[in-house]
Amino acid sequence: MRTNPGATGKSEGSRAQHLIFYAVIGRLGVHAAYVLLFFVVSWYTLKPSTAARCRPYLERRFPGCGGMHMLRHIWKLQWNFGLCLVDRAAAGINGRFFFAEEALEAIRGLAHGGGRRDGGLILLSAHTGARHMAQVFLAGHVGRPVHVLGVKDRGDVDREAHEHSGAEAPYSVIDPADGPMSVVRILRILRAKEILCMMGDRAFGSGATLAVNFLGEPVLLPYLAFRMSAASGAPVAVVFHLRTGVCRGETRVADVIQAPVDLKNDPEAYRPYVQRFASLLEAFTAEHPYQFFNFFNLWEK
Amino acid sequence: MDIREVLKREIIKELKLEDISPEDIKEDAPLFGDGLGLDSLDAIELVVLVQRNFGVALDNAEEARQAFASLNSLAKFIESRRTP
Repeated sequence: MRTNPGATGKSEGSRAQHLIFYAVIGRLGVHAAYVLLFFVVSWYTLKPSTAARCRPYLERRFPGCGGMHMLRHIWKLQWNFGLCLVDRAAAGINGRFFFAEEALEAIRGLAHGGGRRDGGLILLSAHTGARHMAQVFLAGHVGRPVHVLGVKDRGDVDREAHEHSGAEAPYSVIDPADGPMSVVRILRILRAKEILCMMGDRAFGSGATLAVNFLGEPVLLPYLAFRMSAASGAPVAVVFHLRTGVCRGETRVADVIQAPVDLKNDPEAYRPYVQRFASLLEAFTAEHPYQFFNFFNLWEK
Repeated sequence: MDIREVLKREIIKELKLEDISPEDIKEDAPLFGDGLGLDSLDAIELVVLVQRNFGVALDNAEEARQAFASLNSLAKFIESRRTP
């Protein structure tokens, strides 16, 4: 199975560069790492290949913007992305991270059925804010087993927070490369009233996408979450994760979408739900333009 | 009616395999990838149609891997799990 064309998941920095950051966080603290990050982000902002990866999103988020203004947007997007990576490492190295609990009750209520006969919950998110720490926090506090659909790219050298201490991940990972078997696992998870986290802005596998409007132009987004919802009766909670401060995060429930259980195997039937997700993500990017970490051309024809 | 025939008919109908007739589905050919060429989303329909038509749940990934090997394997799995 493949992801969207152009989306590699590969880390920008080398393994050695990441180790330098981990050492700084461990010995000097997270603020010292932010100082180092300032210079690294400034360098990457001036590096044409890295800046080019930011442009497809930023040019649509800030249409007509160019020159120094665009450079400032590129710097801010990379800065916020870097802050999230530093915070994640600090959480693993120093155990330092605070996650706001506001959305937890809502997610917990949905996960426990909310009066529905069918159980399970699909948390549909995007590459935003402190998403990695959000998954860790939810897995530890929501009171139901949490599973994450996705696999780490081989070129991604960033460590997850738990990898710093050698601990086991607090959630299980379902590899979409398992194809039909991953689908069987997901349906079992949802029937067992457990929680599945997945990304709505990145397609795994080919052909399971629909064209919807996002920031003024069509993009291909996956509809797997909504097909799973129709097959299992589990609602889809659209959630976006934010970085709100130094080693602080928050999850916001943007909407809860239930695809009708009799919705059949017709991709067109799922387009309104995928468009709803795209519209919610667009609203998120309007409010937090530098916390949507899109570094490939999602709009590529 | 034989389970294999029901499966062929239901797979064509539910998976909208409009260019395929029941005779085209080879009973020993893989359902996914080479063979019938189904994909992950088709797996959802397959799980749902097996549950709805035969009352058999495909919950275990390892069992599903064997069951999805071919139409014959799936029919055998259903026969072994079906309550009389």
